[in-house]
Amino acid sequence: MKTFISIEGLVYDYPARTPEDQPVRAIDGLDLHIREGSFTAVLGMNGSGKSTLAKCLNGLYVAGDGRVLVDGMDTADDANVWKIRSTVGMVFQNPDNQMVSSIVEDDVAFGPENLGVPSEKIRERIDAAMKAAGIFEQRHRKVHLLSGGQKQRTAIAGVLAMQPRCVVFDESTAMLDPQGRAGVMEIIEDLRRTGITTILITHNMEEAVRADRVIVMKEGRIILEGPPAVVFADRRQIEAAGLALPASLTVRDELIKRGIPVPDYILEMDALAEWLVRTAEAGEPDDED
Amino acid sequence: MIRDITLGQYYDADSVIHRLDPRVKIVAAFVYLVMIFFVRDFIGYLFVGAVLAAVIIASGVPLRFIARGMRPIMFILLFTFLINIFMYRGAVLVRLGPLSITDNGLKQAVFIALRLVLLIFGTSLLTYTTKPMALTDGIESLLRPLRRIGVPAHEIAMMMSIALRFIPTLLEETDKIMKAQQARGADFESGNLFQRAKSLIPLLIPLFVNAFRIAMDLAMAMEARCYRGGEGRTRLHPMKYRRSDAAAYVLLILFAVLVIVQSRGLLPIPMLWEV
Repeated sequence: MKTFISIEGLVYDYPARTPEDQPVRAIDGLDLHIREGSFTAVLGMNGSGKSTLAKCLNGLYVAGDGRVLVDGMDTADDANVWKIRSTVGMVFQNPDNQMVSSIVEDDVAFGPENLGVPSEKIRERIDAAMKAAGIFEQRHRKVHLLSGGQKQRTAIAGVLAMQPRCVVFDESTAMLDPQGRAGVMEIIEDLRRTGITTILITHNMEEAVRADRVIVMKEGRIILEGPPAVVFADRRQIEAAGLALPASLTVRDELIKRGIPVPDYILEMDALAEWLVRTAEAGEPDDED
Repeated sequence: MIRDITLGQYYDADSVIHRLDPRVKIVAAFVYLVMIFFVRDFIGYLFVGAVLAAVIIASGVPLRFIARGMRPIMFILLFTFLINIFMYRGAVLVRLGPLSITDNGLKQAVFIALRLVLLIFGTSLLTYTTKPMALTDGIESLLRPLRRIGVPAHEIAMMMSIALRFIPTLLEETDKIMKAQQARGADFESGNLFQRAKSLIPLLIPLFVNAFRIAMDLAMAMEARCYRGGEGRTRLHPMKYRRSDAAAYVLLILFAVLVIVQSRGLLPIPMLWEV
């Protein structure tokens, strides 16, 4: 698969607030290549630069040094900015603060309207997007009467209606209840199946475990990356990044310590539970010899 | 509690009036407003009132729903009524100490009160039958010709719709801050007027800060969704005039002409209690 986003030597500084202050370096020489159709999770503590990275991906923030190429387009080039933003959609953390209109379907239509899509085509696009995000039934409701999860689904539909090839979730699950989180994760899985590149910025280890690739950031740099099995195997670095292991892995470690040989490829809680049941049903091989 | 306040007084129904183009309704409300000030006697009011009643019936909005909108202005209504009733010279009807009610005063008072009632009923019908979004779209479209002289039509409409969108969000925010401050012992309910106004400071400052934060977030989200002003923007619901809208315009012109002709005394009917 080809590279969809490539970041080379990215540096981003937040400007100083007062003349005496120094600018704050949020991203400090970061290289990253993201393949088309992949699902990448970005982990890190508060202030590790992960949200800043997200905003660099669609030109909301422009690189101070180095460059960010989206499908070959440089985000620093003003001529590309709208093309890039419709290619890389972004779902933010607070669902309330990203809705423009009071009615669900009007809000979903906001993106296509800005892109100048003809009216009949907007209808097709938003219906498809609302169905994909599971909010179609609520399309005539008022936004402020929806639950947090439904609001976030509306925001996702609003991004999908622009028909992006990549969606960045900037801590989009952080303010949701478990049910809302699960809903958003389901949509991400669906997007992956349709070949849309997804990037999930998160604090939640259980969500990161489901990605193809995990990136761990600290102080504006990538300190660890690879498939989840490999990344979470490096306990020392995970701790150094100020992160905790996913609960499923803590349980797995504990099981291994008690002599139950759980294989390495099991990362998710569901998979772990399933494996345990299957092994138990297979007749406790350890007792027989 | 504070969240129970309902704003945006749209009454959801599917009527002839609801289906009219918002531009027609805005123009009609404006013309109606002007026409009320043309009326000079009670025959004129009878006519305007009959037309209004017909429109209300056609709109399917219950009368008590509209009457509810009168409550906030009840005080003003009463006040103007009382001022007018005592302030005019003429044949004395009732004498109350130094004050006296005259025939002219009574006529004037009833006249002004009727004018206010008709004004509120008629114009509130606009917001009852038009969704806020349609209203802002209509305003944008009507203001568009003024863009040439520098009126930012799209921006005004966008600001209005965002303001409407964020009323419930800010109310929720207010409620949250109020509870947080009350949990720390803030008292919003007791004390005299001055003390109470002062106790609002710990509410208003965080609210302001939050409002700015929300505005920043929203601006970023809008940019991420390719918002770049009104240029080249299309609409999900493009506004199109239909036959019923044309008919409404014709009726509106007819209404205005009749009111003007009648108020100038050009009709072969005498004026009734002319003011």
